[in-house]
Amino acid sequence: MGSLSRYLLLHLAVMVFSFTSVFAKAAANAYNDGGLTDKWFIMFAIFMVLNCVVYAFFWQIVIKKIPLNVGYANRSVYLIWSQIWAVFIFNEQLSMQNIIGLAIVMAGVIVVSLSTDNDESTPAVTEDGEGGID
Amino acid sequence: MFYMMILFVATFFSAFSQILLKQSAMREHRSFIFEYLNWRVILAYFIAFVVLFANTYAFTGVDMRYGAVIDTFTYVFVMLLSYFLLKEKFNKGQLIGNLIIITGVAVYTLG
Repeated sequence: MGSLSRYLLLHLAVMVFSFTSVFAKAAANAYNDGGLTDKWFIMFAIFMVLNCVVYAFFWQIVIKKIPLNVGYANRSVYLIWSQIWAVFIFNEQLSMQNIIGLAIVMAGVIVVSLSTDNDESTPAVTEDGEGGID
Repeated sequence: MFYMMILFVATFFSAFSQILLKQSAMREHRSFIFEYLNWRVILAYFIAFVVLFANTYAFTGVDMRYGAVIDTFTYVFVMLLSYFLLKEKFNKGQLIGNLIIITGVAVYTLG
């Protein structure tokens, strides 16, 4: 897997993760309208859990290929995705300071990514003591 | 202060769960399904689940916006634990980048 593919998969996983907050917010709105037994609340809560499962699937593939500290730094981009969904789906407002904060986060992610050796990959561990086969 | 401590301790466990996931990803497994069905991944997501509830409890006593700031300690713990437990190396650029991200989250949240 090339470095571009790795980062694309990483950011796909992050984007999927950002939908968790969308479903959580939708579930919270449904809860306020109809309580715990509201069918929309139950549906969005299920989607939230399913979304976490999909994210977990991609994340496990991603961290096999990318150092954890780099992957986790890139995960902060979910803040930006969350804001995009908040504005376009829930019609929420962003303050100028929110936008500045997000720009700083993005700058940090770029610095981390550009500082990372693109040929860096994590070898599989096969020796007992150092690792092994599960 | 008690609720803030819960959030802070939760960031450590969040980072630790990521270490477990990474350790699982670094190992060879008998088949594809065992990449997900092994004790490390199951324990990692159990921890994530407990952290989720601990955070929910903590938010009864702490404003949401401070939660996101305290959560940035997860980046610090991930770096420290990946250095000491996974022997991952990080360079000055990655360190500075993570500090910029933490600053950005603080600016965003406290805005």
